[in-house]
Amino acid sequence: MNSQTKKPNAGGVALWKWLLLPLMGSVAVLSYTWAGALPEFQSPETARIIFWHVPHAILSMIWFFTAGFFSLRLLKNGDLKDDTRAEKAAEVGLVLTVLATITGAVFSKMQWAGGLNSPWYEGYWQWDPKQTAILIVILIFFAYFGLRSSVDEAHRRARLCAVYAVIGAVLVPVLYYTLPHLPIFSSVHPTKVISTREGMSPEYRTVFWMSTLGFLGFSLWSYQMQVRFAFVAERILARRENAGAEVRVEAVRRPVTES
Amino acid sequence: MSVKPARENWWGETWAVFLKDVRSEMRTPSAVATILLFGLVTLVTVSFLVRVEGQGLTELGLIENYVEVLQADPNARILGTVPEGTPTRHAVLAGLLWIILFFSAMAGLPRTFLKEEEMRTAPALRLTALPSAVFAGKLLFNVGLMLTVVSVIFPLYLFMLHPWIKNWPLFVGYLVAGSLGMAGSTTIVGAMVARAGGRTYLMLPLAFPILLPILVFAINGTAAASRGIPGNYLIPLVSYVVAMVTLSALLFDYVWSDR
Repeated sequence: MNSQTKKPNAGGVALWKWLLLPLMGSVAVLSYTWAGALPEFQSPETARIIFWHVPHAILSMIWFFTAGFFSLRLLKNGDLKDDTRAEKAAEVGLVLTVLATITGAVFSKMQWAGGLNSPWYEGYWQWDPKQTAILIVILIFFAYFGLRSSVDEAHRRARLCAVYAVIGAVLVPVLYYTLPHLPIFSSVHPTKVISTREGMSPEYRTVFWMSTLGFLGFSLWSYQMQVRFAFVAERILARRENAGAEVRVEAVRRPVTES
Repeated sequence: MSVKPARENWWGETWAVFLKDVRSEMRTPSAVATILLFGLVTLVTVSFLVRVEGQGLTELGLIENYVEVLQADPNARILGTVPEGTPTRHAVLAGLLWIILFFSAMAGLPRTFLKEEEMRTAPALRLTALPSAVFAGKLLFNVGLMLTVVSVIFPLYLFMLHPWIKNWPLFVGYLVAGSLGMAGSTTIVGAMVARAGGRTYLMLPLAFPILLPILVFAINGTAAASRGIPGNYLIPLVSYVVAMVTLSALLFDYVWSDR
């Protein structure tokens, strides 16, 4: 009862979640009106990839960092709630990584591989250093969920997975930024688009950051829902287990009292 | 009865763990046997790719007549249609070498921790030695194991696959650095696999993404060294390995200790 009165937004949706609607709506409209097609692209319409692909990649890294943070906190204080938080953050990060890979693959076909003139199965994968890197990141977090599903004891699973998530979170920036930019590899990805003033026109820059903010909101929202759902599920399971234990105790007791 | 550490100082403890593993390996050579057999089997399997006298390949039209080709040019040992000394052959053979080493490492490296759990000696080791000393000792043992395996597999590789190596010192440098890197960055994964209830099938998915950068550097580096062209892969390889070993050393306690 107390928990219901404590929640300020019980029954409603927080204001920032409503604001996502006009924000992403205007991103969709502005990306087709204000931020126009760029003629220097192979197919000029595909220049808008930057409003989708790049925020996904950046945010996936932020969510993997979050997973690493909660994992470190779990290793410090052993609170299993942090294990759930880390798991859900890694889940959101993995979804964003897969989205970034898919959008990138489509763009790769259009920009670097002859577009629709090439055979339908060709051009999606170039083994660009950044594609290799994102593939490794996906494999790391697939392995993380594989590890989660194969250890039964909750505390040990939490600790092992936390160690692996920390390793993953440290590797993600190395893979995304350091390795593809080594002089020994040549990448077709452009560099310094975001970090320099000349990288994007003001229209593109504005819509890009609006989109990043919007996707940050969406991923935060889904993360919150996942975590809340997991906590509720855990509470129900715990209650059911307790109830089961009481029933079993009754079953043992009854014949004794009857006789 | 009081349980005291075997030696008082850290180096002594590390050395004691290492010596214990070496002695136990001498009595029942499980890790060395596993890893060498795996390496040999992979090497022989891979060798069939290089020998092309089979009916199937000649009928495919890859080579019109192998005997005639050999009579016309006695030096023409042929890899598919790729003659010796070409960049493609160097690249393929470098890739094959690291595939052999990678799979044998995956089979053998988790043995050192699995053995402790199987023989139920892990609790005793946990009581008697510092976690960091256990990590360092096991790391030394794994490094020794990999170097032993390389010293057996590499001559056989030379005899069976006939790579043309132009820059010997650099080639050997990559070989040593790469196998040190494999041992160094998968030691903690071996401990995780052992702690996850000895599920050996977890080794490959957990270790592969961590090892992939090492494989990329090592394959590119050995190919460059055998062609005799410059290409600096050794520094990124070594720095990646140093970073991974440091990270593993920091996190090892959480995997190893019961709390």
